[in-house]
Amino acid sequence: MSYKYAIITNTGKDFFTHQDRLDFSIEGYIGDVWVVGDNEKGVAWIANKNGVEKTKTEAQAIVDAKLSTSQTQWDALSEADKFNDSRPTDITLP
Amino acid sequence: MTAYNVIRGLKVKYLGSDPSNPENGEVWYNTSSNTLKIKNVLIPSGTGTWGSGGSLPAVNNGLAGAGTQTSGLVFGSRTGPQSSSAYEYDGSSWSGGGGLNNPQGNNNGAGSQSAGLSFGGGPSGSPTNKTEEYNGSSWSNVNNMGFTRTLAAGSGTQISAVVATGYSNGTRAQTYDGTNWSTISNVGSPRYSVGAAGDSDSAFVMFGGYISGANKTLTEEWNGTAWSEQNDMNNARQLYSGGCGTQSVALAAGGGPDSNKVESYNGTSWSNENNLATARRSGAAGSQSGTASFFAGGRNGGTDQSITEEFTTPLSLGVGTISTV
Repeated sequence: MSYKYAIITNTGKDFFTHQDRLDFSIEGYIGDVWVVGDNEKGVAWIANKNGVEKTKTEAQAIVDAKLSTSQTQWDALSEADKFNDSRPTDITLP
Repeated sequence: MTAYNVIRGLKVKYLGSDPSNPENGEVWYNTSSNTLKIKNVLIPSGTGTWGSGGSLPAVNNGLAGAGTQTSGLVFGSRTGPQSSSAYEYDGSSWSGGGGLNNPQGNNNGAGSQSAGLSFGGGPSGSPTNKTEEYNGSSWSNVNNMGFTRTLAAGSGTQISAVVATGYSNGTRAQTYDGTNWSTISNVGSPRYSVGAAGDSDSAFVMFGGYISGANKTLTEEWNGTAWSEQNDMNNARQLYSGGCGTQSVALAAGGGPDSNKVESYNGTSWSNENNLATARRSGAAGSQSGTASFFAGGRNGGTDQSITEEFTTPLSLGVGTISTV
């Protein structure tokens, strides 16, 4: 399956619908990165949401930067606080 | 008392197997599966999907949930310090609810938007046994659990709930009758960050979890008398607050490490459902329905979230289970 990559802010209710989920794949990541199935309806959804398209490399870089910040913050936590949440793991976009 | 066969014109039959062509509304007891069944009620039919819901007013992680997709409630949080915040959902947007008396994150939730229950929670160093009841506008402190615990498995109603295991309680479990917590027999496998579903203190299922460095697929049911091991989940996950529904129609959403996996349980086995759009752990699922629920907040990639997704399973008329024994 091929994908489109875009930066879109989740606006809440009906940002995507149940029908959207049936029509194309949608996956959200940190940094407002959305990975959308590359078909006619997926492309139209990105346009309708005023999404800013990125290449896969660009989108991965945005996620990596956010993740690096989170991992640095986690590393600085006390041992007690670390119990409550495991270290953010690396994310590889599809 | 009016007999069922008088008001409906049919007797409840005891049968070794389901009848081949039951009438609509016919009720029978299946002695092989020990289930009371009825023909032509709405039952899950097909795979459920997620749509986006209204976002929480703030990012939250480690919060508890109650209610349904159109009448939901979340409360507590461990975003920043332990929080007393509560929010009510109407199927479109979240509004502020009455705050907990005791700020808690990683607490458990049960009940409805107008009759909610919060129990346990807190950081690992100081888990709590505090219990509070919600009346739709404010929380009241009630009798505490017999043991402190956080990241436990909990579900039920405000007057009939179960809590089990959690940190650092090993295998201990208790039931709540609306007034007091009572100790019941221990679960089989100790763990914490466990998902749960159930609508009473005699019909409860707990699943997933984490212990000794490993995520779990284990499923255990409580029938009011004893715990029994059931078929494992398909995906090992830490499912704190990610379970909802009943013992026979349960849902497990998201979980840790950051997961978008969703599975449904029919009282016997687990099936994969469509994934969440955004993988998250420690978000809150509504407690009451496994077919029309929500999953709000949580944590993804080390970042707390405010997003809500709504789960809907298509329903069709069929043979439903009324209760199990």
